[in-house]
Amino acid sequence: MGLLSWLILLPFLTALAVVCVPARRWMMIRWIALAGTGLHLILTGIATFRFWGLAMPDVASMKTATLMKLYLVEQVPWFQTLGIQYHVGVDGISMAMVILTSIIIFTGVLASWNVKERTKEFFVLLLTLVTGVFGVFLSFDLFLFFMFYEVAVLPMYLLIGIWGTGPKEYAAMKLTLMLLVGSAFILVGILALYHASGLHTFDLTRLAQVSYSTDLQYWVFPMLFVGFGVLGALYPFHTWSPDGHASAPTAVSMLHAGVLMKLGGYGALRIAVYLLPDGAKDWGLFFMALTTINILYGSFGAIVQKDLKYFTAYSSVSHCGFVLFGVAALNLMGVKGAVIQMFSHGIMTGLFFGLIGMVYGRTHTRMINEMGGLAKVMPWLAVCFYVGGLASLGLPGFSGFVAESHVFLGGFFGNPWTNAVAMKTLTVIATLSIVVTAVYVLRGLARVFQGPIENHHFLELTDATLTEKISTGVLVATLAFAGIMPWFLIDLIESSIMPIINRLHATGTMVAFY
Amino acid sequence: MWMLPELIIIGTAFILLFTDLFLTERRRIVLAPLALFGIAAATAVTLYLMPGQGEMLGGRFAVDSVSWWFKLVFLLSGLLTVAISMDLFDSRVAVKDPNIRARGEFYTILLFSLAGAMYLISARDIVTLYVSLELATIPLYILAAWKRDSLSGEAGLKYVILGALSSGLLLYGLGLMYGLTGETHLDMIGRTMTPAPAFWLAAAMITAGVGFKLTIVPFHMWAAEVYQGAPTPVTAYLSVASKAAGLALMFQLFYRAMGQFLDHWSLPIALFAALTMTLGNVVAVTQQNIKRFMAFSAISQAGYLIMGFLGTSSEGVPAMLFYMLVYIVTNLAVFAVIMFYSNQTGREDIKDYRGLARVNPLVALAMMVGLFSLAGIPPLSGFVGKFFLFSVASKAGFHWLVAVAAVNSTISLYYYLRIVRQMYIEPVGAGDQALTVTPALAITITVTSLSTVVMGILPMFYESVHAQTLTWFLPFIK
Amino acid sequence: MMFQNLGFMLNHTWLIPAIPFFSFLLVGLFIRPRSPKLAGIVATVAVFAAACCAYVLAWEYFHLFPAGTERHALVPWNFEWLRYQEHLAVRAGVLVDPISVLLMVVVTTVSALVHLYSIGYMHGDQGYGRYFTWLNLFTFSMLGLVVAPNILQMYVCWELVGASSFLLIGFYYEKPSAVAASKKAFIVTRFADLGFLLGVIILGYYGYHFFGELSPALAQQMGQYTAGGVVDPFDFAYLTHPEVLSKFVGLGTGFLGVSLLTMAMVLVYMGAAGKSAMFPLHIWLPDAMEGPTPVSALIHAATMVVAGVYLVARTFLVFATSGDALMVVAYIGAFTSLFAAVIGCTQDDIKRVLAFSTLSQLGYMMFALGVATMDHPLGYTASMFHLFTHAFFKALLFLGAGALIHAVHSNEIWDMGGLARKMPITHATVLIATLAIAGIWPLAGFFSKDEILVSALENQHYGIFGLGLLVAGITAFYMFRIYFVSFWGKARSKHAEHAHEAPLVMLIPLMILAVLSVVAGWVPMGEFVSLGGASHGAAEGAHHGINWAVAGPSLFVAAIGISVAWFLYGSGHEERSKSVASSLGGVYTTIKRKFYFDELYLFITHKVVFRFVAAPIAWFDRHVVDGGVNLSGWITRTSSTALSRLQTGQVQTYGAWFVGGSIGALLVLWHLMF
Repeated sequence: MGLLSWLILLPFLTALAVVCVPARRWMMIRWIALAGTGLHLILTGIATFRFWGLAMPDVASMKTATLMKLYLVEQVPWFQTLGIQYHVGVDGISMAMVILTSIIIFTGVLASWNVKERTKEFFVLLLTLVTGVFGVFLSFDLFLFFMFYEVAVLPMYLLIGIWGTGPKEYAAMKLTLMLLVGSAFILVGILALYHASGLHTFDLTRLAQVSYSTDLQYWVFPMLFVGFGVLGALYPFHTWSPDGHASAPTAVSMLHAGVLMKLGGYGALRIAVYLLPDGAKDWGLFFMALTTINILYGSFGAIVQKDLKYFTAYSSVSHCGFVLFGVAALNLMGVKGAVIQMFSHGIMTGLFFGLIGMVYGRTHTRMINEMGGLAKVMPWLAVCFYVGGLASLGLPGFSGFVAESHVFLGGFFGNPWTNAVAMKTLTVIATLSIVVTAVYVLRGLARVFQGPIENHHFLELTDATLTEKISTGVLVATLAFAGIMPWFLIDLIESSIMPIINRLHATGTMVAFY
Repeated sequence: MWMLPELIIIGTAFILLFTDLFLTERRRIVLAPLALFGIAAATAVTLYLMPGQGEMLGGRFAVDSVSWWFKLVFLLSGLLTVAISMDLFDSRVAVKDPNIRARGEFYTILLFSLAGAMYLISARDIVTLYVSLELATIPLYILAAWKRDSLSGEAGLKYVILGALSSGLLLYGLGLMYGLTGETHLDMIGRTMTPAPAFWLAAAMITAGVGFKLTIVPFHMWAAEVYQGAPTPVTAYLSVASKAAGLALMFQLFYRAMGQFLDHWSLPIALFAALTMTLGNVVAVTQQNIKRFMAFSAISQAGYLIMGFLGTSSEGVPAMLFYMLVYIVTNLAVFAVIMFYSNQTGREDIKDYRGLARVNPLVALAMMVGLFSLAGIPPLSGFVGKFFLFSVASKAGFHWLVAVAAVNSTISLYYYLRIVRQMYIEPVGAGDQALTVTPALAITITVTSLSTVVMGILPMFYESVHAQTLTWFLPFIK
Repeated sequence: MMFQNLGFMLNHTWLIPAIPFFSFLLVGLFIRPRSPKLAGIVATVAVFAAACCAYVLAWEYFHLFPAGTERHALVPWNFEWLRYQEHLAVRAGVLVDPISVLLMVVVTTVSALVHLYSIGYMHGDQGYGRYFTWLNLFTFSMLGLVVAPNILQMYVCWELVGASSFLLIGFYYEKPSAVAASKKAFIVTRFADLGFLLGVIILGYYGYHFFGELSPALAQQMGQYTAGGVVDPFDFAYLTHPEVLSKFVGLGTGFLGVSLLTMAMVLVYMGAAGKSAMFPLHIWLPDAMEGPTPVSALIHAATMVVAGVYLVARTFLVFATSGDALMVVAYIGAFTSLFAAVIGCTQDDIKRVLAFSTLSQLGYMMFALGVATMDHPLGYTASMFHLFTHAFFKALLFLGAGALIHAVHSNEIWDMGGLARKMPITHATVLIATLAIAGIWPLAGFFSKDEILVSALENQHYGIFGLGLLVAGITAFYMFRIYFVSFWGKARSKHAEHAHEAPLVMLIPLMILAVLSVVAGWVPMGEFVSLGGASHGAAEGAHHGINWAVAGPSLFVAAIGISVAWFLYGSGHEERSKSVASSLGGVYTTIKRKFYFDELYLFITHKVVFRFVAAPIAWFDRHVVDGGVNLSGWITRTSSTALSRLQTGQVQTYGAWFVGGSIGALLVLWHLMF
C-alpha cells in the first residue's frame, strides 16, 4: 500500500484505535488522536518531499501540458463493470491542500484538548471526517471523489449536533442538508459527464481527454460550479456557514471553515473548470459577478456582527469569495491566487476559530461588546488574534496578501473569452473589500482586546496554556512563512495549474495522457 | 429438480403445520429454528443450482439467471423475517403481547407466501403467473391481520379489499392481453403483441396491479395503515418481500410481455418514479409512528427502484436486482432494531428512541448505518445501489429525474436524521438503562448491518449480479 | 557590468534594512519576554549600526559617482520574491540612488536618535519591550520602502509601515482615544492605499503588455544597472524609462477623457496623499499624536509621513510625463500647506500644533515637486532638500515637546509656561528648531524653504509662490505662539512650577538634532540630489548663491509672524489673544474645530456606511436569503402535513385513488404513445 493510501487511512486507523479505548480514559484518547495527527503531519512532510523530487523535473514540460500529471499514483480496479477504480494520486494543488488539512487537524486536536464530554465519539467522528477530506484531495476517480466528499460532510451533523452550542440542531441540520443538496447537483453533473464521455470510466485523468459537446458543457458547468459553490459559500448559497460555524465546537469550526469550505473551490477548479473549459468560458463572467457580491457582501455583513463566531463566519464568506473569484477569472494568476487563498484562508480562519474557542473557554461569552481590554490579561491570544486579523485584511508579510494580489491582478488582466471592461470593473469593485475588511477587523479586534477592562471578572483570566500556544503558534508561523517566502507555495502549485489554463486555451485538441 | 427450492419451502411449511399439532406450547420454540432450517436449505439449494437454466411443466415453469436472483432475494427476506420474529412469537420479550399467538400457523403461512413469490418469478404463463401471485398475496392478508387487535384487523381488512381490487384489475389486464394475442405464454405474448387501443388499456390495468404491489403513487394508499397495523415482522416482510414480488411481476410483464415497447415506457415510468419518491419522502417527513414512517420510506424507495427500467441500457436489470438485494438487507437491519426496541419497550414512536446511543451504543450504530444506507450515504451499500440506478437514468437521458432523485435523497436524509438525532443528540431519558439484546436479534442485526457495509465496499456482489443478468433481457426487447 | 568595482557597503546594502529586521525578530521573540531593559539596548544598538552602514553607503555611492557625473540608480542585489507569471514578478531588492541614499541617512539617523531618546522617555513603562519591538519593525519597513527597486515592493513596505504605525499609535491600548486614533489612522491610509493598489495594478497591466513589445536590446539596456540584468514591469527602472513612458502616453484617454496614465498616477498619488496626510485625507495625522511622543517624532514627523513625497519623487518622471497628475500634486500640496497652517494657529495641544505644522510642511514638499518640470527640476531638489532639513528640526521639535510633556505631564500649552529657566537645554534646542522651521537665516529651514519658493517662482507658479510666502509667515506665527506660551511668562500649572530638565539620555538626541538643524541647510543639496544628475546646470546654479529677491520677502513675513506672536502671546498680555479670538467669533471656532472634518468623516462612516449599508445587508442575509432556505424547509413540512391528510383511513377513498390512478395511467400512456 502506497504513501498516499496511508495518508488517507491513517486518520481512520487512529479513529479505530480510539474506538478500542474505553470511553472513560478520555485523556488517553486525546493523546492517541494527537499522536495520530502528529504522525500524519510527518507523513505529509515525507510525501511533500517525495512529490517535490518527482515533480520538479517536469516543471518545464508542464508549461505547455494540457493534461494534469499525477505523482505517487495508486490505481486498483474497484467496480470494474462501471469503470470505477480506487485511483489516488497527488499534484501540486492537492499536495498544498493536504498540507493545509494536516496542519489544521493537528492544531484542531490540540485546540479541542479539553473536550471532556463524550470525548471518544468526538474524536472518532472528527478523524472520520478528516479521512474523508484527505480522500477528496487525493482521489482522482470521480466516484471515489464523490464518496469521500459525502463522508467528509456527514459527520459534521453529529459533531455540531452533539457538541455544539446555541441552536445546534437547527444549524447542524441546515448545514448538512444544504451541503447535500449541493452534492446532489454534483452527482447529476458527474453522471452526465460519465455517460457523455463514452469512455465508461470515472477516471478524472481519462475523462479529461474528451472534449464534451458545447451545450452539454453549458448546462453541466453551472451544475457542478454551484454544487461545489454551496460548500465554497457561494452567494446566495452561503447561509449555512454563519449558523453552522457559530454553533459548531472549536475544532469543528476550524476544520470546517479551514478545510471543508476549500473542497468547494477545489472541486470547482479541479472538476468543473478542468473538465468543462467551454462551459467555464460561457459562465465565467456570471460567477465572477456572483463572487464579487460574495466578497463585499460578506465583509459588509461582518461589520455589524455582535457574535465573534458570526463575525468570523461572515469574513469567511468574503474570503472564500476570493477563492471562487480567482477560479472564475480563468487565468493563471487568478487560479493561482485562488489556490493560495484556499491555503491561506484555511490557516487564517483555523487560527481565528481556534482563538475564539480559547477566548470563549475563558470569558464564556462570544459577544463582542461584552468583552474589551482582554489584551491585558491574555497577551499571547491577543497577539495571535492580531496576526490573524492583519493577515485577513491582506497585510503583506502574510499569505493573505500573496493570494489577494494574485486574485486582483488575475481579475484585472482578464481572459480572452470574457468582456475585459466588465472584468476590470468587477475587479475594481472587489478591491473595495480591502478597506471594508480593515474596518471590520480593526473594529472587532479593538472591541475585544483593547480599551479598559469593564468586566472585572476578566482580570482573573489567564493567558494561553502550552497546548494552546503550540496550536496557535504553528498556525501563525505557517501564515508568516507562506507570506514571507511565498515562492515555496507558488513553485508547489504553479506547474499543476498550468494544464488547467492551457486546456482553456487549447480546448478541442486533446493529447493522450499515458 | 429446478423446482427444488420451492418444494423444500412448501415441504417445510407442511412439516411445520403438522409438528405444530403434536407439540405442547412450551415445545413450540423448535418451530422457528425448523422454519429457519427449511429456508436455509432452500437457499443452499438455490445457490447450488444457480445460474443454471432450464424449464419444467412444458415451459410453464422455467428458471434463468434473474429468477435465481429473485428467489435468493425472497429466501433472504424470508430467512431474516423469521429470524426477527421468533423472539416475539416465542415471547422472549420484556413487554408480552397477548394478541400474538399461533406461531405454527404463522410460519406456515409465511412460507406459503414465500413459495408463491418464488413461483411468481419462474412462471412463464399468465395463468401460472396469476395463481402464484395470489399464492404470494393472500397469505399476506392473513398475516397483516395476525395480531388480534383492532389496528391489525383494520390493516388486514383494508389490505384484502384493495388487494382484491388490484388483483381484479391485473387479471382483467392479463385477460385483455390473452384476448389480443391468443397466447398465454409470456414470451409468445411478447413476440406477437402489437399496439392497439385495447393494449394500452391492458397496459394501464397491469400498471395499476403492479403499482399496487410496488406501492407506486397513486396506488400506494394501502401501505400506510397496513404497515402500521400489521405485526412488526409482517411489516418487515411486506416492506421487502412483497415489494420484491412486485418487482418480479414487473420484470415478468414489462420485460417479457411488453419488452418491445420498453423505450416507450421510459417517460411514464420516469413520471411515476418522480411522483412516488417525492410523495413518499415528503409525507415521511412528519410521521411520528416509526412503522408508518418506514411505510413512506419504503414507498420512496420503490420510486428509486423503478428508475432502473428507464431506457434500454443493459445496466438496468443488474442495478435493480442489486438495489433490491441491498434494500432488503438494509431495511431488515432497520426493522430488526425496531423489532428489538418494541420487544423490549413496547414503544413504536420515533421520539421513544431518544438517547438510545447512550444505553445501547452498538444497536444505535447499527440503526444509524441502516438509516444512512437507506438515505444513500457513502460508503454504504445503499449509496452504491442508488448510484447505479441514477447512472441508468442518466444514461437514458433523464437528467432531470436524477436531479429530482438526488434532491429527494436529501429530503429523505432529513427524516432519517430525525431518528439519528433522537438516538444520538437528545439526552437519555431518566432511568433508562441498557436494554437486553436477545441472541437471535443480536445475530440478525450484526449480520444485516455488516453486510450493509460490506456490499458497498466489496464489489464482488454487484459484479456477480452484473455478470449473470446483464444480457438477460436482450431477447425480449428485440 | 559595473558590479565588480563596488565598495563593500554598496554590495551589501541589503544589510541596512536587514539589521533592524533581524533585531526585530530577536528582540520580539527572544529578548523581550526575558528582559525588556536589554531589549531596548539591543534595538537601539541595531539601529545605530544600520545608521553607520547608511553613512558608509552614502560615502561610497557619492565617490562612485562624484559631482558632475551622471548618477545611476543601482540595484546591486535582488531576488525573485513573488512570481505572478512569466515577466510579471516582484524582484525584491535594494535600489541605491541619490534620493534613496538621502532617505536612508535621514531615516536611520532620526530613528537611532529616537531609539536613544526613548530609552529615557519610555523608562518604566509596562510595554517597554513591546515598544522597542514595534519601533524596530517600523525602522525595517521604512528602510525597505526607501530602497524598494519596484513599485510593488514599495507597496508592500508601504503597508508594513502603516501597520507598525498603527501598532505604535495604539501603543497605550487601554486608552480608548489611542485605540480610536490607531484605527482611524490605519483605515484612512488603507483607503488611500486602495488607490495606490489600483494604480499599481493598472501600471502593471499596461507595463506587462508593453513588455512583450520590447526589443531584447532595450530590455537589456533597462536592466544594465540591475543585478541579474533583468527588469520586470513593476521595476522603477522600467516604469521610468522614456520608451515605456512614451508607450504609456500612446495609450490615450481612458474613461471621462482622462488619459490612462494620468488616471493611474492620480490613483498612485491617492496613496501618497494618504500617507503624507494631504487634504482631504489629513484627518488621521493629528489624532495619531495619541501615540508616545518619540513615535510621533519618528513616524509622524520625520520619516513615514514623507513616504508619500518620496513616492512622488521616485516616480517623478511618470508624473511629469502625465503632467496633469503633477498639477494635482501641486495644488493639493499648496492648499494643504495653507489649510493646515491656519488650523495650527488655533490648537492648544502642543503635539497637535506640531502635527498641523508637519502637514503644512509636507504640503510644501509636495507642491515643490508639483511645480518642478523635466527641464526646470529645481523643485525636485528643493523638495528633497526640505524633506532632509525638515526631518531634523521637526524631530527635534517633537522630542523637545516630549521633554516638556515629560516634565509637566500635559500636552496643553496652557499648562506650561516659564519653562525657559527650568529647562535651559530643552529651551535652547527647541528655540533653534523653531527658528529653523520659521525659516530664519542661517538655519536649515531657511535654505530649503527659500529653494522651494524659488522653484515655484521660476516655473511661473505665482499663485503657489504667494501662497507659500503667506504660509511661511503663518508658520512663524503659530510656532512662536507655542514657543512663547510654553517657555515665557510664568508657570500656569503646579507641574510646570516643579518642572525640571529631562535626563541626559533624552538631552543628547536633542543636542545632536539641534546641531543638525543648524548645519543641514549648508549641505549643497543640488550636488547630491538633482534630476538626471549633472545634466541640469540650471539646477546646479540656481541654489548655490541665495536668491535674496525671494529670501528677503520670506524673511520679512517670518519676522512679521514672529512679532505678531510676540504681541499676542509673548508680551504677557493674555487678554489680547482672547479678544482677537472672540472678535473672530464663529470663524475662530470653525478653525479650532478643524473645519469639522472629523465630524464629517464620522457621519459618513457610522451614519451612512454602517447604518445604511452594513446593517441592511446583515438584515437581508438573515431574513431574506436565509429566510428563503428556511422557507423551503417550511414548505416541505407543510406539504407533508397536507399530503398525509390524504391518508384518511377510509378504504373507499383509497379505492377511489386506486381507480383514479389507473385511469390516469391509461390517459398518460394513451397520450404518450400515440
